[in-house]
Amino acid sequence: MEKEKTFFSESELVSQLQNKNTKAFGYLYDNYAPTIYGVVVRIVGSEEIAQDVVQESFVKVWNSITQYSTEKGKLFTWVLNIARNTAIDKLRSKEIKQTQKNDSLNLKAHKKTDNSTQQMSEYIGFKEIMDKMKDEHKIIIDMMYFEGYSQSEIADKLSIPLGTVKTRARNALEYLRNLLKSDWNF
Amino acid sequence: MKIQEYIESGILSIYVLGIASDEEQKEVEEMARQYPEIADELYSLQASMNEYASQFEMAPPKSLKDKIMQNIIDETPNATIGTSKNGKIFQYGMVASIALFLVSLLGNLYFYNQWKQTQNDLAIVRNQNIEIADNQKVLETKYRELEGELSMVQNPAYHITYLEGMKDMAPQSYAAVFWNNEKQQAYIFTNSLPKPPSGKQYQLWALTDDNIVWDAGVFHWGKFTPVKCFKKPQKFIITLEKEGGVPKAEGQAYAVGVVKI
Repeated sequence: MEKEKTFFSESELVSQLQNKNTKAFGYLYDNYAPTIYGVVVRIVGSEEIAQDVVQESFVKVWNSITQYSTEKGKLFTWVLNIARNTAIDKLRSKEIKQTQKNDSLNLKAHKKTDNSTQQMSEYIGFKEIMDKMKDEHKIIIDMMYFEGYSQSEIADKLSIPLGTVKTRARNALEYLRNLLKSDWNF
Repeated sequence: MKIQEYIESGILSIYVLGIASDEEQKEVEEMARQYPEIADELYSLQASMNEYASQFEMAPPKSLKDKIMQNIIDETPNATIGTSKNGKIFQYGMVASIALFLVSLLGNLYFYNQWKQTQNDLAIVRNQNIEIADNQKVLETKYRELEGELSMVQNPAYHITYLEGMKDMAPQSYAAVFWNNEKQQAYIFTNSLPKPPSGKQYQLWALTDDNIVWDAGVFHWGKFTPVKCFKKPQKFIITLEKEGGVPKAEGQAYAVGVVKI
């Protein structure tokens, strides 16, 4: 009898999911759910709604796994995008109150502890990316990724030319990438 | 369009941050398919976003997983629970396994019977071998005896006298008497004289030069048998007597031999 696997490589995971292997799916959930949940909470501003979104998203992943291919990037990216899109749709359809959204846009100190009401992961020695991010970058990422505003909406809100929106986006991600690279030393 | 320009335009970032329009999305995907540098840049930016996203990690309630697992099981009746690859394949595998088991079970029963048979045959052969070994021992003893006898008679001290069978009783038959006067040992052998019927035995007589007939004793047909020894025998006579012999010759004379010294 084959020894029970506790670890899946990405390609194994994909093929097992395509085979409708529930154990592989459980593995996927265990590894991806915390980040997905956190991101969705930040988007929709409510844990209750976030749970619905996460549930919907994982079921979508299970049902449409054959649509994933490596040219789309990593499996996690694909799953995260499904969740984010579902969350944004929920955000728009539910018309969640602005006050709730303001909380999630708290730019003061985006520490992990702000978001967690339950279990808190201890990241001893882990540098706070958010603290090191420049406000202008944080804002762009928040508005685009967590709020889902269009390029023209952002140009309006920030009173910048439409063309600059793309440049700002690039700057933000380049800065983030460099920041993350330097963190890889520990 | 230059690749570097395209990368620096920020369209990839818009795409990664999820707000590219449908046309822009299609364009980016097409460019990534065509140009590996663009694909690499895309994946790199996505990796940064993935890591950024993990900053917001938050443990969902445990019940959420159960709900989701139940959902997918409800949606997929053939979902495989566990490490097996595919529902149908698993089922076929089970059937195949059971079939194989039954086949092997039958096979085992057959082979068990064969084994038992072989064990029986082995027992028989073993007994036969014991018999053979016993026979072998007997033959070895006989052979040693013969060797002994032959080595004895190569000694010139043993004077040999050949007895010829009586023409009317035992034509073309012979007997040999081996006589060692020094040691006073004598032997007789014949297997060419007719084998005496049951109840009867050949007896050897020695005629000495004083004309007295001496009883040399009965002997076994076909066996090298010791007989009584006398000084200076002139003639040997073999008669057929009753088993055990007689003090005085009664029976038919079968062979006679003159001692030539």
